Amino acid sequence: MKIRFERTGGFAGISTSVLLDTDTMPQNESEQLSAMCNNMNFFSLPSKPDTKSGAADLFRYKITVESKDGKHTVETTDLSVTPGLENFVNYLSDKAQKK
Amino acid sequence: MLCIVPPHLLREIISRGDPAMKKWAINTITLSEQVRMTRQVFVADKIMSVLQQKERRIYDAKNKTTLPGKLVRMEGDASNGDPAADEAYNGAGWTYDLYKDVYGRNSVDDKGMKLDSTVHYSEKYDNAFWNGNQMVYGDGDGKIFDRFTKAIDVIGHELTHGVTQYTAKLEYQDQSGALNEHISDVFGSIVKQYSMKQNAKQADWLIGQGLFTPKIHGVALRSMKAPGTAYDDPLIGKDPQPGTMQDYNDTTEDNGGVHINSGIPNRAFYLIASDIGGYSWEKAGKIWYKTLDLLNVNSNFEDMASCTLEAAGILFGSGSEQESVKKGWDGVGVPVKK
Repeated sequence: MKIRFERTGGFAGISTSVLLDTDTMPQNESEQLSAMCNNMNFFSLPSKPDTKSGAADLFRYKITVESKDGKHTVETTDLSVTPGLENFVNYLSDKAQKK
Repeated sequence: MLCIVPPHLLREIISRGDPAMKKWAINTITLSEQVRMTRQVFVADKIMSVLQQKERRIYDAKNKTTLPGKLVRMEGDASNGDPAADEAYNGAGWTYDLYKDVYGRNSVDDKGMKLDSTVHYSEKYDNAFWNGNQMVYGDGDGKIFDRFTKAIDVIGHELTHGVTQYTAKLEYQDQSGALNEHISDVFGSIVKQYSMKQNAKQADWLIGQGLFTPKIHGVALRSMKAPGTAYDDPLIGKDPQPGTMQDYNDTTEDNGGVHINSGIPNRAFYLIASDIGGYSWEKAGKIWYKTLDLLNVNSNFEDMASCTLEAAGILFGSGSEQESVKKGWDGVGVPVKK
């Protein structure tokens, strides 16, 4: 499974990204990641976020997951992210920062 | 009693009386107007909010993402000892005062809207935002960014997103979005200059100075005076802001580069404020504030240039101020049409 994460926007406008491949990471981490994707039903999440008028400087997150089940991209923001997706976004943000 | 006290006197009591008197007067005014229950609340809220002065509330999200979080400080309360809460409180105060004292605006909505801020949002969160109702600040990751309340212009910037939301309503996409960002940078910088009593020459014209940790090679997030020069670091790259139309960045990222292309009008404002001279909140700031009435949701850079020229004419006639406005936009390659 391949995961591409991009964070754009925000007050600073500094974008960050990371590309993960479960084939090349430690097994426990790869299992944890696969479980996270399954638990939140990533492949059935809506592709585009609800936009709230008036809001500004939000981070915009774009996550693409590619596996044997297919390929799906989800875009979300700080205000439209759901709790399950939020854990995933935090995990990926952390990876992108440590890159 | 209901029939004897005239409404204007009740309003005076609402604005000047002690809490018990206020409550009584609001009850009286709503009863005497014989409105239904739901409308009573509405009327009371409206009267209260129009008459209120600066009304700040600071919340602590305690590193979660639920807004607004726990209320930790209200208007007039002593400091709770948290630097982030103090900075959010003081910065919102300076911003309110600038809008009230210089531009005659009563808070974000011009109706005395309460200024709510949440600090310690999420974990290692490298951002600050306006959610449509309130300001939200992260603590930074500690490696690249320190806490976002450290720079007073960030606070002025976020509150100004609220002002734009209630005035020009610039759509947060492409050039209108870059103008939305630009207007927040302008008044953010003006709040800083106002709080430090600096004129256009003394000001640093930086946005987010002090937000980077000492490990990062950079002075700030943006420079209105010299866009593209604020930072250059192996970890985060180089400041991508253009300072002229020639270098306009046609991108789909960041809502069409709203935090990137804002460098162009930012530099125009710097040039104009410097050319006019003195305190930038006095003339250049007033021109930009007036311009908010003239713009519309889809305005682009050329519209902005002609609206600022028009605003300068309305406020100061066809004199040196209009000349400064023309020169400034010429300087960044945006044509000024009448």
